[in-house]
Amino acid sequence: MRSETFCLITADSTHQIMKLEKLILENNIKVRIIPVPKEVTANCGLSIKFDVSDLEKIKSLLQNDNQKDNFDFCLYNVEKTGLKKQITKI
Amino acid sequence: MNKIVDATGKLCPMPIIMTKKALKEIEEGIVETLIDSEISKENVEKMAKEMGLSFETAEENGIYHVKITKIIKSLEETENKDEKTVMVIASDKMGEGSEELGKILMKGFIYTLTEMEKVPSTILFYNSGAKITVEGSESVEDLKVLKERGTEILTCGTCLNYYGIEDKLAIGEISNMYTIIERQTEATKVIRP
Repeated sequence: MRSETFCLITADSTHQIMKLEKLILENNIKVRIIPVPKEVTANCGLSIKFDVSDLEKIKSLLQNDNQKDNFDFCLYNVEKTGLKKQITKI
Repeated sequence: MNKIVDATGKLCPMPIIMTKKALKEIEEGIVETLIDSEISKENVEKMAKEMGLSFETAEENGIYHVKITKIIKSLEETENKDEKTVMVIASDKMGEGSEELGKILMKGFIYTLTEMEKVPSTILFYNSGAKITVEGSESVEDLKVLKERGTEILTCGTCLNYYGIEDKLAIGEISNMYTIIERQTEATKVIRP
C-alpha cells in the first residue's frame, strides 16, 4: 500500500496561501498547493504541502514573514497510508 | 453456509423460485437444488448464469443436482463492471473568474481525485486542458497515481499540436475526436469540473 508522510501549512485566507507558496518557491523549496484535507477542516480551503525535511527551513521563513504581515497559520504533519490519513498539529 | 433445496416433483417455475430464495438467504456458500426435469434444470442454470454465479451440475439416478456457488464480490469488482465515470478536463482552469485561482483549483481537483476511493475510468484532456498532461505540469505525478489505479488518461492530439507541446506528453496516450466522443457516449457518468 502506498504510504507517504508530509507537512501542511494552512492559513486564514486563500490569498495568504498563494502568497506563501510564492515566497517558499522563491527560496527554492519544493512545495505545492493542495485543498485542505477534510480531516483538518470542513471549510473549503487551500494548504501548502511540503516535504518533512524542509520543515525547519519553512518554519524560519514563516516566522520572518509573519513578523511583516502578522497573519495566523497552522502547521500539520500528515501520515498517509493508502487513503487513510493521520493528521497531527505541529 | 450451504443449503439443499429439494425441488423434485415441483413444476416450473417453482425450482427457480425456491433456488432464488435459498440464494437470498445465504450470504456466501453453495445452494444445491435437486430437480427431476431437464427444462427446470436448464432454467435454474440459466438463472445462475444471469446472476453471474458459477455452478456445477451432476446427474444421479435421474435427479439433477445443480450446485450454485455464491461468493461476496468485492466492491471494486462490481463497481468496475458497470460504472464508467468519465472526467472531461476542457481547460487548465476550473471555473470562471480569476485565471490564477482557476489553475490552482484545477490542480487541487486532480490531486483530490487521487484521494477518492473510486477513481474515474477515463479522463479526457482537451483544449488548454492538454497542458495538464505534459512535462512541467504539477499534476503529472497525480495522474501517474490515477493511471496506476486503472484510470485511462487521454489527451487530444490536435490540441497538443496547436499549443506546440506534442513532444512533451508526460502521461497517458494521445487521442483523437473519435475516441473523445466514444468515451463520453459509452460513459455512465460524465463529469466536467
